[in-house]
Amino acid sequence: MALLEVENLKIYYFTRAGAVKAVDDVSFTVDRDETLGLIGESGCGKTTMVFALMRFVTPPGRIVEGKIIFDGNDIIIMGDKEMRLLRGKGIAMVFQSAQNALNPVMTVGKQIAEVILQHEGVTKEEAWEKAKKQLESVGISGERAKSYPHEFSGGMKQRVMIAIATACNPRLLILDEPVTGLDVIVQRQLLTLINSLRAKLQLPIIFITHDLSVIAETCDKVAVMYAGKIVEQASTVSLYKNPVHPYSQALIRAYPSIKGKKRELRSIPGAPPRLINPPSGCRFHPRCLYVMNICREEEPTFREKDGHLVACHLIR
Amino acid sequence: MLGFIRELERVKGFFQLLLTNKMGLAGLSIFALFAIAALFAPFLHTVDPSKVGTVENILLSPCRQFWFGTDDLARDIWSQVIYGSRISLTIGFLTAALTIFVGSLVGLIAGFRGGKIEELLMRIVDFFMMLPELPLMIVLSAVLGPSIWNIIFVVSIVSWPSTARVIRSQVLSLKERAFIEASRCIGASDSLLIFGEIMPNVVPLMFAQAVLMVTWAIYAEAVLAFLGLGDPLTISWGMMLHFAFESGVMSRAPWWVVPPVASIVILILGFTFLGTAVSDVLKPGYRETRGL
Amino acid sequence: MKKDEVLRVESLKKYFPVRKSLFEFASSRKEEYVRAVDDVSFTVREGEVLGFVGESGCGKTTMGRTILRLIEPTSGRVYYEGIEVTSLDRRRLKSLRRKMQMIFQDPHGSLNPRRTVADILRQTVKIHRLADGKTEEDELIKNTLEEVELKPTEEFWNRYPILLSGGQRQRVGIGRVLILQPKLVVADEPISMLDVSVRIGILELLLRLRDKFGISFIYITHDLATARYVCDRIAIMYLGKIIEIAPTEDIINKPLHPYTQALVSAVPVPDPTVKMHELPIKGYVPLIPAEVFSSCRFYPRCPYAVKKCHEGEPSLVEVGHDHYVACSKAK
Repeated sequence: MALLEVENLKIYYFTRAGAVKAVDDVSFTVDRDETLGLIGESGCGKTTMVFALMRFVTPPGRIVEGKIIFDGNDIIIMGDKEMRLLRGKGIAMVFQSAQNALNPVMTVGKQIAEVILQHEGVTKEEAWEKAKKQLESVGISGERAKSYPHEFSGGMKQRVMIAIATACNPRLLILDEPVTGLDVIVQRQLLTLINSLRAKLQLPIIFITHDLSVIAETCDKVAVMYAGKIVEQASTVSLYKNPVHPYSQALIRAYPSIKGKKRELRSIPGAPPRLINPPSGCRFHPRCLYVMNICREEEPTFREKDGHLVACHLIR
Repeated sequence: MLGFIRELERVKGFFQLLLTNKMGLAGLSIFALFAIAALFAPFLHTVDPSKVGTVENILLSPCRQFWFGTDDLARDIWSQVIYGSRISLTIGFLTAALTIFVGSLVGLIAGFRGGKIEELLMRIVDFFMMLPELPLMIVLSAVLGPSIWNIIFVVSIVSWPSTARVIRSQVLSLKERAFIEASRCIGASDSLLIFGEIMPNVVPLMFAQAVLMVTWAIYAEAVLAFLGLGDPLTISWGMMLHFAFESGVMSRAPWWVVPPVASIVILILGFTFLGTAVSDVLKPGYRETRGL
Repeated sequence: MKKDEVLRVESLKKYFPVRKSLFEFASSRKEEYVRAVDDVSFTVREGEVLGFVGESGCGKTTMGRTILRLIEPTSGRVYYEGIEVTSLDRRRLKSLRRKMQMIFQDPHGSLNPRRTVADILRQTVKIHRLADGKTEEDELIKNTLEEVELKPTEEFWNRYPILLSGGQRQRVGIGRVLILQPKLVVADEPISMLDVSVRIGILELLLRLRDKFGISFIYITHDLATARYVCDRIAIMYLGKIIEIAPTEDIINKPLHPYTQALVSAVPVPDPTVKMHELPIKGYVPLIPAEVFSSCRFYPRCPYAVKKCHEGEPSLVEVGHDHYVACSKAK
């Protein structure tokens, strides 16, 4: 059984001007030993969806439909207390610009220890020792447990966030744009850390980003999101070698690479749609090079091609 | 000519938008009510509000001739309320205009220029803010003498510093935005930057302050008049309360007290609604985000 | 001054004084500075796109602004087509502004939210009196909107920035500058805040403008992969200095400075079959570069450091065709 199964998830934001369909019928699975990359541009719904995995969706947002089954239990219908215990211990998350999530008036050691004390029945001293070990595991000297967040650089603060997230050995780790905004060398060091932690702790990861190259370095399989829907799912290698959905193709073609010959890049005309009034039929149709009449009228369902799951009318 | 018509269209559009907003509708209605009272006072079943009547008409409760009854000198209370709206609105608007003008100018220049100019201006502001408002108003009114213009002056003196502070804070944060740097890079002069780029962004705040000032001015005048520092030749709502209090029959003549108090409260409420609505509607893109 | 040189920068420095608390001031009265730009010299040729790549704190953004005198340099000289920019008075600087301009990073913040697209462009026209009367103004604005591909122009004319997408806002920002018909444009991370699918469109626009109008660009970015696509030459900056400058493909394929080598190998590749190699570099960039360097400033992190690197800063030396490196070991 897969560790995480998301089925037909729908999350809408109800505003005065109408319902924003941020996540509209999304399904995917994560197995116990794989890393899933979720790629999409701004407004595609990936962050909303990931918040739903921790049940952080607040009004005016609401989970309208669907199931999120984690280790056999549906998170959506879980009781509040059970959910609170799950957060941090079952599922842990590192937020975007997580560095701002650190409490500036508490030492980093204490912040890690807090999480440990919350979930495990240990003494304060034991928790502190464990906190120091956590820092070591992310490449920071244990001595620095007594330091405050402002004494660390951006990349190091991100490491602290990872230390906090992995403190209680979660069964699933969610990283929301963990390296966005960091310098390239720091980013590389962090990605190396994530890969090694994943191997050492045997930790399945959901990795959300808009950066194609970062996914290529870390993820086993990829789901491409566009305007609240998943348009293609495949293994990373297969997706990059042979993207099927026109959006995936266009995205890969718009991405510069530093290695290899200088390819010609092409931009995608138009812009991602506003989700308050998404295009009819297939949401990508206004920007698609291969648009047909049916694309304007009917939403495509998932079909299989070459081992990929693709939502596109081009596939019979 | 074409430009003028375009401006009119814009103003018309603005009002239409305002009316779709619930608060705007409420505020505008209340304001309209009092504005009509002020403008058409002579035609609304009124007599000269300060005209003393005959002895048998003293302290009458509301009846067919005197809709709100009479006071201790047989003056028609309804007329006083109607004509009083002229005074309240005049004082409110003029004070707000003066306060916003001076306060914004100081706030804009101090915030943008920084350095010694800002220091100087803000120290002046600080000085004024230190002075206690009510006692200062009382003393100044007593010294300058009771008249509408003095009241306007006195309330403005006391109110402009807080506007200056508020405007300056917003200017400080706007100053750092990239579009200011971009305009400077294009070659805009300091005065173009202050009045052409920053000020339009400060206008919603100025409106909010203006509404606050109108309500504060109406309230301040009522207080000053009640304390006996108002213009005795004009019977404002505050003045009515002053006479009512002086007469000693306040507890026995509710029809004398309730109308002026209610008028003050309703008018202030109306402007508060209006202010909120105006600052919402002025945000660029308001029309589209409401789905209109 | 060579004939096709549009810009020449000589020994540019920008130091920011470090604010000291009263206590620190008492213990050491010596002024301390952040050497954001520390003796930078280079030239920009006509119609070229020169990239400045480096991590945060390397000084590239400060340098871009100092060249245009949006920030006043501490010392050094900047020449635009032979005219010394750094010594001009305000009036003549304003007229030179027509030739040297800047595009900003934040598409949202760089446009006045209370001005329509047409008004934003109109401001440029008015400040420099580029047109006589409203009809000419409107025509100029319309042509510019078409040039930056905001078509149909009527649709964008009265729009406020809040209703534009990031890419469209950047186009307005480019248009605002294009009206002046500049010859040199400093582009400060123009696409880093845009969606991936939109970025290439903006880069293509810049290249098209370069081809059509002969504009030279200084392209500032931390993203080496995109720099590869738009730049003719790339200068790598580290802690306020240029440590390597060469034609793009040389930087990518034959980086000579250890820092450049680390940068190139650190950039992730959108190809899952390429594995990440171990980075040949240690440590982190110091948070505030406030010390004076008596040795090569990359020394603490360099895997090849030898005693010689400790004895004074290496200067840029030509080691290949148009390829300059500041490293005592690069030959």
